Amino acid sequence: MLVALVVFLPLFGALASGTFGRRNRSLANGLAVVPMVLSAFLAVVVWLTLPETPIRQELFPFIQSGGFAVSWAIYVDRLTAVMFCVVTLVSAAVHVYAVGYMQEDASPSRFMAYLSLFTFFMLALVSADNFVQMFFGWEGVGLASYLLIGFWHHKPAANAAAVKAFVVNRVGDLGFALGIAGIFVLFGSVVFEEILPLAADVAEVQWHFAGLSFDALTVTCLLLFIGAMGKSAQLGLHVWLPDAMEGPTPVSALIHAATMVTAGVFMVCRLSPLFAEAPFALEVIAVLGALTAFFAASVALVQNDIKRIIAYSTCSQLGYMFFAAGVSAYGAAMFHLATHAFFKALLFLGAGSVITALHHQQDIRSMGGLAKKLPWSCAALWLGSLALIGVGVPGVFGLAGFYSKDAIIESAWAAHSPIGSFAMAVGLVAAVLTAFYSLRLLLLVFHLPQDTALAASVRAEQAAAQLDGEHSAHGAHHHEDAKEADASGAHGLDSHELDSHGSDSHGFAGVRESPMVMLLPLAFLALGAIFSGVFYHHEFVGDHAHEFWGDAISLAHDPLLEAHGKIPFWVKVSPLVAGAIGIALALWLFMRNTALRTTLATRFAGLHRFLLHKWFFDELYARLFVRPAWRVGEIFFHGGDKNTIDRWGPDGVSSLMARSGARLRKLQTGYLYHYALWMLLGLVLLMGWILFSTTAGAN
Amino acid sequence: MSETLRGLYLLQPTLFIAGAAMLLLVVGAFSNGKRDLRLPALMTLLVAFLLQILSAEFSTPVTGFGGLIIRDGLSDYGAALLLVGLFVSLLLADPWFRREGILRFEWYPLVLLSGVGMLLLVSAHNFMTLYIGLELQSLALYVLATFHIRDLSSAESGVKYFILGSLASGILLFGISLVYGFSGTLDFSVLAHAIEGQEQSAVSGLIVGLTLVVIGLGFKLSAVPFHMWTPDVYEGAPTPVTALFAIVPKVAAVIILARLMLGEGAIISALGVDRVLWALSFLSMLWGALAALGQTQIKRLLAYSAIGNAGYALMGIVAGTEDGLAAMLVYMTIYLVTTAGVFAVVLSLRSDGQAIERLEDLKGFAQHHPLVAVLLGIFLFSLAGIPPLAGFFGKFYVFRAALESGEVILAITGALTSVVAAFYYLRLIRLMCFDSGSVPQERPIPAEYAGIMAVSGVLVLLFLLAPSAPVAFAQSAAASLFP
Amino acid sequence: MAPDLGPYLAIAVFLVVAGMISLLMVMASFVLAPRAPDPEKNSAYECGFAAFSDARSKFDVRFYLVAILFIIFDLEVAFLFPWAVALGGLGVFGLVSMLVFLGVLTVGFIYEWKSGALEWE
Repeated sequence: MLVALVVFLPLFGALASGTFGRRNRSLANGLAVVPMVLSAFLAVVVWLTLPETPIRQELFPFIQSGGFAVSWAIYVDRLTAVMFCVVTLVSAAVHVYAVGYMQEDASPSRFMAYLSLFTFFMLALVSADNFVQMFFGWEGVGLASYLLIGFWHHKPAANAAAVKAFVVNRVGDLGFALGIAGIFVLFGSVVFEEILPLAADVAEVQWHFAGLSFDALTVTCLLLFIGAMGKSAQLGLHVWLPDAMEGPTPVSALIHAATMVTAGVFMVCRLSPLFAEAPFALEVIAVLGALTAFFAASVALVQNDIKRIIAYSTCSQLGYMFFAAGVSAYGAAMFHLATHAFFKALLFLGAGSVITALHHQQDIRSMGGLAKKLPWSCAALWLGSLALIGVGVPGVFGLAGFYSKDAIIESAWAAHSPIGSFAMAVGLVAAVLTAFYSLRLLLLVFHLPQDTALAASVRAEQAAAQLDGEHSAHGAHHHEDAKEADASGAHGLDSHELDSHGSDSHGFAGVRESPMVMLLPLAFLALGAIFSGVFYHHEFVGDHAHEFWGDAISLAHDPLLEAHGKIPFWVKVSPLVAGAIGIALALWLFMRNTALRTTLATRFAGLHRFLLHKWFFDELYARLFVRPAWRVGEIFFHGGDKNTIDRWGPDGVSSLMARSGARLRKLQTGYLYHYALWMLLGLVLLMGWILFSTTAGAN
Repeated sequence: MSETLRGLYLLQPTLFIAGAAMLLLVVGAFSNGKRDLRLPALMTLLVAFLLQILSAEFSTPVTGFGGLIIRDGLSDYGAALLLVGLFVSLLLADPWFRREGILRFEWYPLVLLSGVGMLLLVSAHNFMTLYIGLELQSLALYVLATFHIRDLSSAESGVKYFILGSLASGILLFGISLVYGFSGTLDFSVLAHAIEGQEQSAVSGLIVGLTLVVIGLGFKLSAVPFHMWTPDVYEGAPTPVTALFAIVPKVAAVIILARLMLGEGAIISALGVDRVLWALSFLSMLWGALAALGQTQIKRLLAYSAIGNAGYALMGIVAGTEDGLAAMLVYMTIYLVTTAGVFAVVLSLRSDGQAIERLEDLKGFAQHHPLVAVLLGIFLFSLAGIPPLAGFFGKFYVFRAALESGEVILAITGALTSVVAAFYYLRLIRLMCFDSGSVPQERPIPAEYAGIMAVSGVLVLLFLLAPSAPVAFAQSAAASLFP
Repeated sequence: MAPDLGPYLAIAVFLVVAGMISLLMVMASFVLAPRAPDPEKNSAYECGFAAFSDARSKFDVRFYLVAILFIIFDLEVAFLFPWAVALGGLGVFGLVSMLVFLGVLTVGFIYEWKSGALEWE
């Protein structure tokens, strides 16, 4: 009952807020926030009272077809309980925060309803006891994500981002769906409890295709991992995540940092017994995860949009989680998932606080010296960044990231495999980069004085882009978008807003710290960012791991547990050192030798451009997939649909009908002799036909 | 002598009506039209209905007057349907005629006499009876078409109907004489035997003769290409007469066609003349659907609807099976009920003291008469064959029968033309419900119309609940041709 | 079951030949005859006088009515003569049948009388 409440309270909130909150802002907020907070509270209760054996509560049968039987059921083991807590706590914090953040938005009930709906889908995903239900949640969060990215649907960029997220996720979902099909072929079932214990039995099964034979489990696991890649924005399918920052900041915090994007990691951990039997798949995961960690961190170095920097940081951290999973350190992956949820949500909400204070200015080049104006936001961002970098004193105390990232690096080392070493090396480099871009962000936003000339040029650029966007919107969608763009004044997104609040040049005179309702969630998440690591590292990755996890994840090959704490000291401190190097570099480049920055940027202009354009992934995809697909679509649309199907099908037939009807009506002249003539003509023709056909038939 | 008595016994409902009609004529003439003959006329039909039911012999066919007439399940089913149709037509006519001020007492005897003709037609077992029944029916209907004598279009429609009808009668009569000339008999069963042992040369003469007979009947059924009179006559005749034309005579025509085609010896199909019916069915469905698309007059639209429906009914006959015949009977029954409802609505449409006859005037009808609009919508949906209304089942049975006997082309044509036809039925509904118009409809709706609308509506809606009862009736009627 | 149209061949030939001959004659008159029309020649010839009125004059519809009524009773007589000749062989059945027929006609007669169809004014 309790677990069902945890899952369904957000759904109730979504429906109630969406239905009854249309007129009344406080009602909309209350109807969504209260169930969500309640759900979070109950999730903590579930966490604390979790029994040894998993809870399985069947709600009702879903599909019964031949040998295929699926029920709606809530399945709660330790893994689910972790996700329950992470999802509901962060979601509750974000709900509260959104009350403040969306204060001036025109449709709070829609926003709150989507947010709660997302939470419901996410909870359904993590509490699934079978693949089909997980897929339901999987698609559900995708839908909610789409709706929320495109929440400000009058912004062309937001629409494009929403569509991009949806389409890229479809690629992953195809893999996931095929993987589920593979699972059903292999096991004859899609229920986790029935499949996972049997993983070892099917490890040898081979599939033959086109004269080649494939290891069935590996193929299946890789397909499932493609699904995870899509959702968790791993290298290749990551392109949607930075663009998804077009959504409101609470959305970025909840969906694109703390919860949904970690669904892939969760899935791999949930299926860890399966992956354990598919070593090649694991290696792929580890390599791709490590590459993602490095790639995203490198791109984050040079980005200027505050949210995009954090988004790439998310992408990078997800890479850490995956390579942890790839070296069989599922506990470390989950641990990083949990801690990351808190400090990344903290970072996003802090950034959101800055953004609202600056009236939706997101470019860090036009910021500077805000520490005094926004002390709490500054503190939140500092805390989040330090947790992300993983600051701490070994053996004494550390922020959340300190424990989890350490665990991942140590696991990679302890794996004692070429892949593990590679992952560790890449992870350490990425850690340096992480520290660097975090500090860069903090310094530029809060501590360095604003570069007025640069800020002015940035604003001019933005105004031009805005105009451009509006023009293209006009061109593409006639006047409707234009009207909506006008109406968007309420959201403070119009160019004149940017201009009128160009008071930045006067030192941000009008900038005020965010209201309490936004700061409280920050404080709450800060607690998580500080303490979640120190409190729980024994359970997640330490000595109590076996009791803690039980059978929820596969601990059989966990390198960290196999090493039994015999990790060399240099390995333990290496992430810390990497962080320190990054910090030092950033301080040096931004505080001391600022000239060197420009020199470097011009000296390595190619590299800079390469990073600024995110390794040209978007351009590559545009050329490889988007434009050809567009062209093919054009051909099918104009040639296939309009000129063939419509022309000969619905339009053609109906106009043929109308025309022949008109022609037939012309025969109805009203003259008697015409009618008589028709009768006689009909008679003669029919008679001739009958006589001819009977004669022909006889011969 | 006993043969004559049996004939009289078998024909008692028909004879009763004939006698009553003449009596009403005399009474009306002597009272100078002052006496209201509606109740006697309705009572006549009621009594005739009871007589028909009470003397019904479903078990075995019985002939009378030396084979001139026959009573079997088919004729009884047809007669019952005809009597109900006539009854409804009389009910429908009265308020309209009274409001227009053109009611004259001849209306009742004429309707009854046309009924006598139709009843003779459904129990004809001889080409002589067939011809007499058809002519009796037609002569009365010619006069009825011109019933509004001061109205030019009514007169025009009557003259057109009369002249083209005479042409058709001539064709029919010529066909009958050829049949007689080549076989030496007019009796259906004798003819059936004669066909079996025919000389080669005589057969082609029979084919020509029977084709002409079928064409003559096709005219009465307004089957394409002998339908040209239908839209003009439907439009020109006073609306209650149009209702009568639409509801009743077709039943008689399809039943006699079914008897010729499927009855003893299968006279028509044995010689391959059933292909004429196939062509008539095919063309009627097509033409009825296409030509109706651009119509602007309600009555013209219903005329094309009638043409198309004749095609669907013929499909059941062309199927040539017991199921096909039963499907046709069910189809005609549902068509009768639905059409009665449609005409009840159409006849109740008035504004500014004038009957509404243009489709355009229906704009915004739903706002003024929501309930009536809903009922009309139900009837139109039923005519369009949209489930779960009765019309869907009618079409479904016919299509199924056609498919089962391999008439794939007809069934497909029927399905496709139903789609096209759905367009103009739905267009009417769109006019009523979604276009705004300011024509106020007169209240109150006469009780007769309200009653017929309600009964038709309930039957059309609830057919779904108990389709087995009417189907069982139709099947037992159809079984009489398939011993 | 082939319709044997062979015997009709002669008729077909006859029709064609007849049609051609008549066509030929009409054509010949067009081609051969001298034509010099003038208004006098084209006007109607009425015993040497100019035409008094349009030849297509209206006549009273009542004539038409009387003619129809006459035809009915004319046909009745056409039935009665053969019936009278054969009555000896038809017996009571024939007598009763004719009485019914006459009765029906009488009803019609009563109707037309009462509705004033027989009165000229």
